[in-house]
Amino acid sequence: MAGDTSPLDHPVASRAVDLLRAEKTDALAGVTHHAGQALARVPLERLIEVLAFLRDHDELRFDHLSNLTAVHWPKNDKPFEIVYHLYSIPKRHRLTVKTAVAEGEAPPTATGLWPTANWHEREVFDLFGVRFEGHPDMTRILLTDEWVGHPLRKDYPLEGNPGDHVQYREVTTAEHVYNNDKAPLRGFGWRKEVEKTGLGRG
Amino acid sequence: MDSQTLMRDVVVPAIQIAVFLGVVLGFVAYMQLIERKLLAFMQLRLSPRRVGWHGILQPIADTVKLIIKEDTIPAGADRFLFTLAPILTVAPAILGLAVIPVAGAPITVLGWEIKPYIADLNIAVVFLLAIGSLGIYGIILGGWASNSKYSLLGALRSSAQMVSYEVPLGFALIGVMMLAGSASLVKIVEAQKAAGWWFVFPQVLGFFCYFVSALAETNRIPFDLPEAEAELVAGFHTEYSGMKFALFFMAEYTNMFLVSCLATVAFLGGWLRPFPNLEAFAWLENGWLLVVPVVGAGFAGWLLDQRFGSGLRCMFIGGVLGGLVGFALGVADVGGLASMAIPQLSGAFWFSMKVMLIFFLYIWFRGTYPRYRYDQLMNLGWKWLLPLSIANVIVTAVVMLLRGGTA
Amino acid sequence: MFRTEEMEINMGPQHPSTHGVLRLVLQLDGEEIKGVRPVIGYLHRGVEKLCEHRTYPMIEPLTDRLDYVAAVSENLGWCGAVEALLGVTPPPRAQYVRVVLAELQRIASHLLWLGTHALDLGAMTMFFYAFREREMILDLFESFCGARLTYNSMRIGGLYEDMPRGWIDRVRHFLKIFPGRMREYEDLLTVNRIFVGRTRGVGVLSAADAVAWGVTGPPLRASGVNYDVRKAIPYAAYADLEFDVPVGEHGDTYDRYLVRMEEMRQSLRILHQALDRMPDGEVRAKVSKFIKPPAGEVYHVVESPRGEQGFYVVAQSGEMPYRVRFRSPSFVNLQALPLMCRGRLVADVTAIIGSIDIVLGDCDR
Repeated sequence: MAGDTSPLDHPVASRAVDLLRAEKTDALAGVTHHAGQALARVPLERLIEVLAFLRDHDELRFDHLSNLTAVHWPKNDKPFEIVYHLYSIPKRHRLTVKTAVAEGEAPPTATGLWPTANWHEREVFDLFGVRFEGHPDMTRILLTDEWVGHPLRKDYPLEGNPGDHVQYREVTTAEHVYNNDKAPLRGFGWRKEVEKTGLGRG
Repeated sequence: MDSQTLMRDVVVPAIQIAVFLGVVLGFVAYMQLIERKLLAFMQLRLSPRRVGWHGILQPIADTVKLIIKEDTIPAGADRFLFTLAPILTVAPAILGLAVIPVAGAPITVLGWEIKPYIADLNIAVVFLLAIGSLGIYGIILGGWASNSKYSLLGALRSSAQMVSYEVPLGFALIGVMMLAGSASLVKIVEAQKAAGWWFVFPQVLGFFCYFVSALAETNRIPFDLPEAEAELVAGFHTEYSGMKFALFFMAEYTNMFLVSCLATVAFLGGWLRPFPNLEAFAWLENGWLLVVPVVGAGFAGWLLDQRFGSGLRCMFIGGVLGGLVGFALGVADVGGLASMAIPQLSGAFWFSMKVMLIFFLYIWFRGTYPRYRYDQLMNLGWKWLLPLSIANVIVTAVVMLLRGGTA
Repeated sequence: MFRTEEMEINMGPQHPSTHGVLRLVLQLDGEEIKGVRPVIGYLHRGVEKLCEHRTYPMIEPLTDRLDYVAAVSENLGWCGAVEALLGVTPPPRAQYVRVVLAELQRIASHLLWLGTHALDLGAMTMFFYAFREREMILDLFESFCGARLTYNSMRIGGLYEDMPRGWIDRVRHFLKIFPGRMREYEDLLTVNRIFVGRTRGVGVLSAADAVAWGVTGPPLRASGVNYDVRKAIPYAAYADLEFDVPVGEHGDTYDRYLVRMEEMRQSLRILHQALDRMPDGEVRAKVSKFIKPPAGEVYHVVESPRGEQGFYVVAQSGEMPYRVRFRSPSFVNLQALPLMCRGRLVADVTAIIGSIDIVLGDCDR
């Protein structure tokens, strides 16, 4: 098995992975390695427990949440992956933690562990529509409060008349309306409009 | 009233006021250009150069632009007070100019004797302080009437600042009044001539307090909090445009001119030449004998610096050499140059030189210092300047007492 | 009849001292700050979405436009991330030239910060002095790649081209002049009572808070935490070069100023070493024209002048990345602003914003 993987996928030594395997065996859904970085998959239910373990264990001390983001895999059962990139300033090692989230499921917030997760989670909500449970201020951050849809989803329309899918509604708080908004896209009208009128060329 | 009295008491003073005002306001307008030139020089950049030779017409162009610019009044502003505020600010500043004596002797034009001041009040110093504190009403009203939070904050800061710094400003001037035995500006200068030295020497502390308070009083860096652009956009005049803005601007520079004049009169001997009592320096009545070589050689040196990139070395060398040449010219009285002094012109020359010196300090400060914070400003005013200026008054009084009532 | 209430004041998005389009909603009690709410997103251009539909080399110009004040760091990080995905190592000469570019960029960026920070505090002259030297660096960049701000001079696997002839001498000339100029800055600011009064003890961020809020770069080091990606996870040629990481004590605005000033000196040190040890050889590794990394993901971090700049790239065996996320230091550091501002005065807000040195293009992406 290890023979046919590329050198990029060779496992790297990671104290964090070893400790996780030893002490949180049942909370570890899998470990992969790529480009010299270790990645641990954790089920959603055990996420906060594992993150807290990683942060507080004396040998690990992942005190720096470097990055928190999401990836959208629309074909998966649980289409969203929340990714935590951890780094330990005193111990100088890092680990990536991933958890899969189903549509409509609300992962627990990491703001209790690392306050820095606040804006990262707001951004994930803004661009992916994943709500975080227990987050102090779950509002849009980069887009306007009235924005409809979550652009970093793979099924977010790329072309077409902006008026067809980017609407401004009169709402004061942002909420996930993507699923409720079943109005069919009226095709790629913008391009046709250009061909018809010649407007917008050059 | 016969025509003679009418001419003497009404027409001639009116013409004098008009001329004086024209000259002073023109000077104030050009102060702005000088400031921009000097500041640009300190900041390695070009100053206005497009309008006229080296931007010499820039103030006129600015004024014309401000006059023809649309004069907006923001929605929700109190229209009457909004319009009144700039007038309330600029009027006291101009009014204060009335008591400034710019030269020693009166001149005679067409048989009419014209005094080098518009009025010689025996309470001129108090008058100036009173007038100065009136200007604050315009600022508060302007800030409040704009209906803008930035303007309001700027006006609040401004009023607190001006109220605080008026106190040390007044105390710093008390020492001078004690030495001169009078509050009349003419008497103060004459007392300096009698004492044989400028009051800046016995009143170093007073001058320091006065200068710092004056900086704060005119809202200049490092005390330009009311219009701290990084925090409050433009402070109390954020919402002003066109001629109303120009009036605020004019008031600011006129106030600067006024406090510079007062500093000159009270501390730097007004129209007196340096060493007013030494006959050996009588040639200094012809001030240009010294100043022209210094400025000329310094400028030539600066041009050389520009050409050869030698920092500012040639400028300083040129200035010193020019000074020596001027000194030699004056002492040796080459070609009788030093004896051709007209006392009125000489007085005005030295007066404007001293005002320019103070003004240069203003610009130098602006080019060097960051801005104080509000609480630091208050600390400085109440905890340092006020005690210092009071101590100055007490020390002056004690010394005068010990020396038998004189300085 | 009379009542007092807190005033809410809207600072930005058009405001002289928010350096771009940051909006702060300040809760004021007189001049005292009761609360700050940063509102961002005015410069959001959807770069991450754009990246999903560009090939890997096409994304490099986009990274230029994230942190337009320090584009080299972004280029370097992006190329490093894709190289990690490909398993390619650029030749040593390329690594050294990258270090030279990155450190010049660090000085240029810190100079911009120094000038604007001083300007926010009212020291206008400093702004022009700092820009004078920044201009020299931009001229160097211009002669290196033809662009002054958005360089796009790196390629995946190395550089587009070697340094032009005589360029090293020009850099050395700059290195000779710059220390004297830095003394000028120090004369104007470091010992200036007003400047020290405005910055010392202002916007204090404790080490624990800084780490918890993910603050990186000079603000973190000013709080006394020694974390510099160049030392912690060395990339390019930094492992071979000697330099110190300046660390502050109090975590206030003045310490952040001192840390950045010292960083500029350390950058000079790095530049001297990199130029002296510049290896010969190619500047570009053999990389296919069509860059198709195998499926996988990488999180690559570099030390930009603003802090830890992260690049999270998910590849799905195609010419275009599946997902890209730029972990921008401005975005994360800005989060700590309310913490630093609480209980301070309005004037301190500008000092504190200046001291965390944000670039909104980087923050909003």
